[in-house]
Amino acid sequence: MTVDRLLDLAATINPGFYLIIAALPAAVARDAFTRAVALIGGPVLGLLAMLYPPVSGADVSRQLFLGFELSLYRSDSLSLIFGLGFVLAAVLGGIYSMHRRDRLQDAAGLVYAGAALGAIFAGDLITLVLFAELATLASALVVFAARTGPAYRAGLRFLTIQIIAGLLLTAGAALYGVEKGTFLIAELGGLWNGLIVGIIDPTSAGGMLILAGVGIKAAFPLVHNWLTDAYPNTTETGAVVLSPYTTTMAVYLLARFFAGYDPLIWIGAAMTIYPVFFAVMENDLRKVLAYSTNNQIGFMVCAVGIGSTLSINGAAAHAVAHIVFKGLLFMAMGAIQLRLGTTKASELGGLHRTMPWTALACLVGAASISALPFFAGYTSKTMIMTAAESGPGMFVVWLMLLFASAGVLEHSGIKIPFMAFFSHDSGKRPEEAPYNMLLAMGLSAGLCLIIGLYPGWFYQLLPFRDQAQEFLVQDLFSLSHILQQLQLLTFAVLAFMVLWWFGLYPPEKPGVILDVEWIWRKGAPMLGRALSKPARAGGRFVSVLTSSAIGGIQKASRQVFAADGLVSRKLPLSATAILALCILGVVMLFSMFR
Amino acid sequence: MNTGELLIFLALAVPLFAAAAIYAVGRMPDVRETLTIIACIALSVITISMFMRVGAGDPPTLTVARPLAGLEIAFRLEPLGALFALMASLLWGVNSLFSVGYMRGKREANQTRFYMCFALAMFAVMGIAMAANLFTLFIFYEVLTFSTYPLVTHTGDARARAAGRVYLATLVGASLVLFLPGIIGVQIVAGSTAFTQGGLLPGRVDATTGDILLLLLVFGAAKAALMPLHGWLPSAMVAPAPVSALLHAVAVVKAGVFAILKVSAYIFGPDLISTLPAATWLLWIAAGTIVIASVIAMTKDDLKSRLAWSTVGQLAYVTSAALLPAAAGLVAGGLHMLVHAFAKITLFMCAGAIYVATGASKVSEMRGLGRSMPIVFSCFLIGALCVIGLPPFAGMWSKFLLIKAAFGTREWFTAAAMVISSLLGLLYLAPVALRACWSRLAMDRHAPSSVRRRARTGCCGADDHSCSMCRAVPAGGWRRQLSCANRGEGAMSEGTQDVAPKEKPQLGEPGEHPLSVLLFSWMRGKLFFRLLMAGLSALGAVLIALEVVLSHRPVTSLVNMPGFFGIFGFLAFGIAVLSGWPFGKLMRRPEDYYDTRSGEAGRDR
Repeated sequence: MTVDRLLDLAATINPGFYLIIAALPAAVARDAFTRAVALIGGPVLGLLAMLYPPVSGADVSRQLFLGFELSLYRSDSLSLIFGLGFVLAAVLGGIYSMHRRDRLQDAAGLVYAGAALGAIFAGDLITLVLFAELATLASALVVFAARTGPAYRAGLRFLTIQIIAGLLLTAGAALYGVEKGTFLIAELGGLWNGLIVGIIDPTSAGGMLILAGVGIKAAFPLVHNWLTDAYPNTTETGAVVLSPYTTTMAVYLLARFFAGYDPLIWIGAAMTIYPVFFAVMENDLRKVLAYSTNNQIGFMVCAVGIGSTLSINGAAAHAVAHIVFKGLLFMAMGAIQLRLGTTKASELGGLHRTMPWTALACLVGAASISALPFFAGYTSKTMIMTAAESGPGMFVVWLMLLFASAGVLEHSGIKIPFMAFFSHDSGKRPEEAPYNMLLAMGLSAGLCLIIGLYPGWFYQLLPFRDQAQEFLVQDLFSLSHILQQLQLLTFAVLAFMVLWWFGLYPPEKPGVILDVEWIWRKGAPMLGRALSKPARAGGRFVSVLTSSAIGGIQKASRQVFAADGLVSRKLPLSATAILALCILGVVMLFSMFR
Repeated sequence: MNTGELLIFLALAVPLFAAAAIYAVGRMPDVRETLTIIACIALSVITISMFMRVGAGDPPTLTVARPLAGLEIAFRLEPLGALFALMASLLWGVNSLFSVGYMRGKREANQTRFYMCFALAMFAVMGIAMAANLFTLFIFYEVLTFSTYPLVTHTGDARARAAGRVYLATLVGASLVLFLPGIIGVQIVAGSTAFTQGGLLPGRVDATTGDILLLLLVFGAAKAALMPLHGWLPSAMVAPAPVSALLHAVAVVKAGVFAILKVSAYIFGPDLISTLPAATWLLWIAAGTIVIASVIAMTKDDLKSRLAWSTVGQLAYVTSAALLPAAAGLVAGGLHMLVHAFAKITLFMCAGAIYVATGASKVSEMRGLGRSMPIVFSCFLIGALCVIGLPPFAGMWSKFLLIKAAFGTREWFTAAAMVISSLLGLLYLAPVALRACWSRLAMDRHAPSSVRRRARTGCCGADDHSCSMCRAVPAGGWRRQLSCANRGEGAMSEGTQDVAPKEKPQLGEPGEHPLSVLLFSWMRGKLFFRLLMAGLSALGAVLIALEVVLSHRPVTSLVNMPGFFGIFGFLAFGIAVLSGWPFGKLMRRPEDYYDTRSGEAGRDR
């Protein structure tokens, strides 16, 4: 009886809290066992809490706080699929970072995962903002945990941009909630095919602010730089911890709030294209993966913008699949970072000789992200491509996505494994990755294969289950889809081989690639230097002006109040009388105004 | 005299009596400090019980004197005042504990005067908090100014005296030239100055008179440091840290914004405020103050000065809240006053603790100090995050309420200023703590050598060693690891895996992993490459052929053509890769591009 009640109580708590609470033992644990229990147990508890009550779409935990009605926990099928992805990422990331005895990063990572999870299950805008901000802080700590100069500076830039996004989100939530008179997600909009999606009007002021904040977190074009700046500067495990949450949370928020908002289609399509070119040039393979993340998020944003049941299913599925295979690729690069202290392509090559397991896992990840049939990426991306193909007036968008698919194969499918593990032999013979890393990579690779080969259970979990089942039966493994995808990939690989054979493949050179960050890393200091001189002169002028004015007042008052000054002078009686009359007049004036 | 009146009397009498007692036992420091602490506890108990009683039944009133008809010195308990009194008395206790350590640690002179003036200031604060009318508030407001003057000039050197002159001139000047005429105006217009629920003036003034009175009263409360009357606050930074805490958190500036809140709530009332154009002008000025103060704070290297400018900005938040034409703004303002007090006192105490322990007062000197003072810098970080308004700290709620109120009343400028200033707060407060904890490497490269030496030898001797260790890892790089690995000594120092002695493989290259031999070794060489290319071409051809055979759709467009995907993939891939040549030429820069003196690293203080 009591146990039942306790369970019921535990099931009304937002699953994110379990991970956040688990951060406490992780922060103080000194022995490996406690760490392992906290790192794995926290997410597992969260998972159980997530699954225990059947998904209801109702506000489970309503609170009244400071006059606001809050809903700390609200679960429906859209939250659930993203939540599953986050819990998976937290478990895999926990295993992956087991060798690294860094309590700060462990705790920050758990809080980060928990806060992101909490935001997914938040039932109102205020709770959502709170969790999102907490996630921001924790993620910045993960960047700082590298404890190097570049990481510190990159972390500050990361934090600044994220806080800007958080403030926009906060301001937007406040404005929108005030306008609508409620902060509850369930009351902001109605059901659409059984789910609450696309509930915020993006043309209202508050909606625009929310869209801007979420857009920064989703790394929209021109505000994508935090992603490519921070990820490569983390520790070897930090990028694995960072990669799943912030952008995926943003995709969730876009789906929840702005599904079917047309501009998102074009924004998403643009997001899939331009990182391709940057990734070709980029030398640091972890940065290539960051650009690749940007590109994959573009697919999801585009799908959310299309806003059909199929495309939202596709966005959710791709988000979770992306968490798994991008995590896997980051894990492989992290292993190289751990063993060699660098992931620069110009210094790597031929590593498969001593790191074959890592190479194998990386290849599975590469096949998945390239959407090779029977790997994870194929099951999710096919939905997005089909949704884009079927829409009227979507031909250009569809072509853009198709181009980006070939681009994904280039930077993530070929460049990452080829430059790191094959290519020219760099002569380096690092040791194979530690066992915990291999375990995490093995589990991720297994997941990629399971999702790819047996997509049935995965499709069961998608937001619109019936439509997903229909797609699974009719479309997913239809011959035409498989043929088209295989053709695309085969000929693209062939293009690679031809280019490589004729020496036309651009060589990997060390260097940084200019990006939007130039504006604040180089442009702003230049502007500041240019402006500092006139500003300083102006400030000096103002201070001279004020000090001379004060001096003048002092001098004047000294003359007035000095021993032989104006006030001390003897006045004739008549003057006093006139003064008294004046005061009387002032008082009269005042009384006339009442 | 009933309980409520007794409490009012005690709240005034305890600090006054404490001041006298402290003077009497001034020669015995231990007794003196004990007395202070006892007074703090007693006052806290009184204010807590006041706070519990407030709102229940009639507010207790205590009239002391009536020098003229319609003009009386009277006290009355109401929620806002009780909150202020509670906050001040609790923080007095905290601050006194801190002062004991600070003043003894720095061996300051004239400590008796210090504690006595502190108690007197608390007496004034209690008077302000419980004042029943503007006249009483004004009297105690002046008492507060004069009782804190000796504290500001405590060190007694030229800088302190100059700061004291500015302090006294600004505060007394503003209150005599602006505040007092404002009060007289209210008295003339309304025949009374009593704080009234819903406002004293509504229905008794026209817009022009109301505007003039509002401007006089808001600017007259110069303790709220609304620009352009803010100059005294940063210049008062010469005072010892506990005094700064008193100025910024406990008493002085809070008395200013409290006066504005009272004037707004009980003299004008939200309804009248919303009709006055002067309120809008003042909101703009406050918004300007918020942003300008934050920007100036970013440029300050001296920690206390940076905190002072931050206070100027945060006070303008409360002023804005008081002037927002909504009752919700008042609640938010009161909450922000409270939250800011607790956060700012934390920050100032941390600054004081850092100064006493290491002598560092500039932000640039604090690099790496977090290693040796983890608790202090953790507290600083918490305080900073609270001021910025990030969860899970209290500042989040007050800022959220403020922004919500600003939005609710369509004051876009105010809302935007608040949002921007939160961000700027992040930029000038958070790095202080973060840099202290994480910036060891940056310190090596950019800080002047003298500071570096002092920071290392002075307070974190272990730092030198750890710095050199950190530097060694990226530099020595893979070569050392490689040689380690080859000698079978384990790779990096992480040490979770033990290296089993490896057998020499029969196939492949020496040292190659057996799995690699099995899976990958036969892929090397040109023959495999050619075979693979041929195989892929064949596969491609088969795929296109299959599509031709199986496809029953008529060719209506380019997309339907068999082999479209193959050709598209080939071309798209080629374009993507070949673009790397021109774009690489155009956009690739040397790796240290951002690290030069002219880059952001050179700016890094």
